[in-house]
Amino acid sequence: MTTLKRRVARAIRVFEKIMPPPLLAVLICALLAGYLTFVPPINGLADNGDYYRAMYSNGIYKLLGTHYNYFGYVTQKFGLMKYYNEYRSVNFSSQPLFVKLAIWLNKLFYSKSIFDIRFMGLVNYGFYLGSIYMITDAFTYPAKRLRNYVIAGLVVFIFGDSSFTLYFNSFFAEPQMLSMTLYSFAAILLLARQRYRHRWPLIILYAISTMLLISSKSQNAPLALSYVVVTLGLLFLPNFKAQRLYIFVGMGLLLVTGGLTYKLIGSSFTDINQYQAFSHGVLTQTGDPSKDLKKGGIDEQYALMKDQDYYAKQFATIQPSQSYVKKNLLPNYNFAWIVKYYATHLKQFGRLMDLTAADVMITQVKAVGDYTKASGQPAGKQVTFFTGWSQLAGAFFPQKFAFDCLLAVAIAMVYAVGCYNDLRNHESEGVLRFFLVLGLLTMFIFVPIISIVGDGDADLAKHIFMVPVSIDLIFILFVSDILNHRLWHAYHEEDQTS
Amino acid sequence: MKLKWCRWLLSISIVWCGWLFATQLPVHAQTTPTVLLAYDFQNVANNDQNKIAAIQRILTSLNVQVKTEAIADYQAGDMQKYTGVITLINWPQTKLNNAAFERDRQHFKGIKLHIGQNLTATEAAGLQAKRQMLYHQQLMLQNHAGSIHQLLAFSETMLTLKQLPAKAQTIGYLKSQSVDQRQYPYGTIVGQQGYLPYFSTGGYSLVLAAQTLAKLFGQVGHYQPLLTITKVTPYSKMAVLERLSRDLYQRGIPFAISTTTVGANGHFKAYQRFAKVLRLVENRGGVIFLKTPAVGGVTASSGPGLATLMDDYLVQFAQNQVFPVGISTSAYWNQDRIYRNYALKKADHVLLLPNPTNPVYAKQDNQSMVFKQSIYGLDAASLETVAKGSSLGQLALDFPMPTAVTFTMPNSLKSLKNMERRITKLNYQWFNPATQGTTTKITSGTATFEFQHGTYFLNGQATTIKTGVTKAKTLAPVKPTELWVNRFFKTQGTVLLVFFVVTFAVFILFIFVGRRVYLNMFKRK
Repeated sequence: MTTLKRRVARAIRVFEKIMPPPLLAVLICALLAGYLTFVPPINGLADNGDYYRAMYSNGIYKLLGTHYNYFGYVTQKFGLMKYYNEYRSVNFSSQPLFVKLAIWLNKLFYSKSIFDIRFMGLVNYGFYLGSIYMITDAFTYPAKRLRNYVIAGLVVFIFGDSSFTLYFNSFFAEPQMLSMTLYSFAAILLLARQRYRHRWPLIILYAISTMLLISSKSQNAPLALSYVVVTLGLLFLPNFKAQRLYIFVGMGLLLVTGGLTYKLIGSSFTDINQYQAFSHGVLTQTGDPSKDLKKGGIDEQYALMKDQDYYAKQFATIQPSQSYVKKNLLPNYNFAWIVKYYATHLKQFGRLMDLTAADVMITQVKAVGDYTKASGQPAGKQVTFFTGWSQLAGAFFPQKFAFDCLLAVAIAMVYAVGCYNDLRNHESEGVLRFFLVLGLLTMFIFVPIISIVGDGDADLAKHIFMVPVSIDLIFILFVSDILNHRLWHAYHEEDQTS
Repeated sequence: MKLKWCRWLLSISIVWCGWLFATQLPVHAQTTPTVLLAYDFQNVANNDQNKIAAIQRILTSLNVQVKTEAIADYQAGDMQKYTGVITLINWPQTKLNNAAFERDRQHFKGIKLHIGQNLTATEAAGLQAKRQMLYHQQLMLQNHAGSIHQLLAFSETMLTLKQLPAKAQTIGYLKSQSVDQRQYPYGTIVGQQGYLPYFSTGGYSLVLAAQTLAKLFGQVGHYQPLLTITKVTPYSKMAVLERLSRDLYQRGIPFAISTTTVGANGHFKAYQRFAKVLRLVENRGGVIFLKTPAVGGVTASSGPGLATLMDDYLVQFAQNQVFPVGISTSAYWNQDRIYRNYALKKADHVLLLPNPTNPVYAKQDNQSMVFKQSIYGLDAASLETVAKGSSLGQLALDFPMPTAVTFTMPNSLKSLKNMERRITKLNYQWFNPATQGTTTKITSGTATFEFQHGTYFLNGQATTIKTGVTKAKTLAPVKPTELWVNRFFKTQGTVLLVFFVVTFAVFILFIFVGRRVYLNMFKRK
């Protein structure tokens, strides 16, 4: 019996050596995401009308002579422009870097005139797998215990969820946002846990990934503030006084990136957001908005635009993208008008926030199909493969915004205890971790508010993408900290035997 | 025995009648002629796709079914199915390269019409005339009497006919501006064959081209134009629309409006106001065409959704005593199987408007259907072209097909004034649907809307429209049955919230109590 036990123990040791938890997580995620992204019939997300932003300025166009499918089916093949491209990017974004990389790979390995969306998937896949490795490493380091495999499993279950990996075969910026968030999170946590002898590679990784994240989409601009909070933690790194100046410069850079991302939004983009903040926000969750509009100085007839999309899904009474709305409706209100409106209609705003809270954990984009037309599936069909986490969390996560706020306070308090203990013991792990969690919590609370005020409940699942990512990260961090006995203070080897 | 014989006789006669009926049906259907409209290129760079759409609209208005096809796609032998074939040349610089088409056309015995340049020698021979090319000319288009004329744009080349046979009919003349002021025929008909040297989507050219088509297809008619205000939406300026209807009413001008609507939120004050203005329109000699919605991302499976939406539009209108007399739509909707079957078929009167810049089809089949009446929407601006000081509109024009002269809904009182001035300038006897015996019908789901001699019928019952606020027959709102699961999750959220609040309170209480207990431990008793 003892020999058997010893053998099992040795086998486990060997397994731990050749397959540490981070590697295992990466392998499983690679299999899951690879199956979805590359094995035909491929899965991805259909165009919701936003793709053109990433396509044309990068020289990709809809193939002529084929029926281009919005909403219903994923399009696999696109055309690559050969000659002068007259399209200019509609906004300041880091996304073209990734699209250009995909095009380059496509030209290198596949074709100079046809673009296969799978090359976009490949780029997203590569960055994603790297981030999965780092994040699992950050959660489990330096403990060498079997329960770390539980943590790795949790990472796979949550971040390997198809609702995240479906984004890969698309021209959305979300897959890059996901991996960049994971990189910056892992960098801070690894710094806190002093994984490497040199700190600068992680600090640089953090800086670059955060800037790419903030600039990937104009709606990410406010995240700069959250990341300033996260960066504050770096000031508490031991023996770091001399480099503090750099940290302040870094914070400044973050703010500038955020400011630029916000300032350089294209006009069509602001029109869409402004319109939908109205039709999908101000007009919803209330009885008859006609009177309130009149009071606010807008022709009451526009109340009938309730729930209209800027790009009509199928049919619409009027196409908002045409000049009539641009000339007659949009000049009558702005961001300040909307803020003032909600300030005087708090009940409606509360209902909208609860609506957001209900959508927080539903990460799968239900509005668009996940299959190609060639797969023979009906239009708009959703993938159910490995969506356990998103389904579970989508169903059971409480649908009250007040709950979210309380949860945030509770989490902040728990991590504040760790921070306080570590400060007293002159350790930095808990401090960095506290600021990291605090930064993520600000996203958890403020991103929904900004989405509602800035774009209404249109495309809510996509706009609050950072909310589930941040709460998922905090959740895994919490579980891993409990498992490794480091929730209330920094990691000590001697605690582990108890 | 006798009974058995009777039974036999009865069943045979039923079968025979059925067969007779069945065989007669297609014969009946064939009374509307079907025409092949074959074009060389769309020539989008020149916006010539609009010419194709305009010819389709004219033919539909003339009750002629039309199948449109690019000449390159023509398959040998297909022409036999049609009563007529129209060749439209949009890009004369390139040659046709479908020999089968030219061969079939040569042997075709039905009605033939050539529009545009590149009239072949065989075609000219069929017209029993000689071809004559005009170079660098500024031409004037005029009627036989010379009372109506329109100056045409400068043309590089134009192929006209000369030495016409005696039996030839000509429609309009092209008069050169040179010293000799020679005249060339515009529309020419010789027997079953016709020729138009060019085609334009507006102005007098369009009217004459339509006359040529009408004569050729034996559908000659004389119609007064219907004054129509297009692009009305629930978001238009209601005060302006109200004023417009009042002004036209006071001046005794009957009119129509083409409006989109919404299928939901009928209880909103905004909708009530919209419906009230539309009721005023109905009471002030106006009729309403329901405009089909704008199209976003549609697929071939969007049909049922479209039908429901149209029904919602109509039902909500009916609940508020707004009764459309027909459906107005962009011309391309009639070239699409889904749009026709799920929307246009609901009405027997259709107003066909020009196409938007980028038409979005659900299932394009280029096979138009005909209606009891299809009205050709003609932009008023194209009739206001000044030629030698007089506007075409000032001369009573004879429209060969049901025509609506359209104005865009003004956006302010100032532009309303401007529009009214333009209407005054057009010296037409406007068509009055109420007094001139128009009967229309829309069938939507279970409801029917009829308009007969100025009276509206809802489901067969005559209805008087009250202008004031009608207590709309509010149907009980259909509440979706709430699933117990949803209820559970809803309560779960609240329960957790309460739980958290209580826990928090207890937690904070414990901190205080604990702190006191802790401090008390060190206090000397």
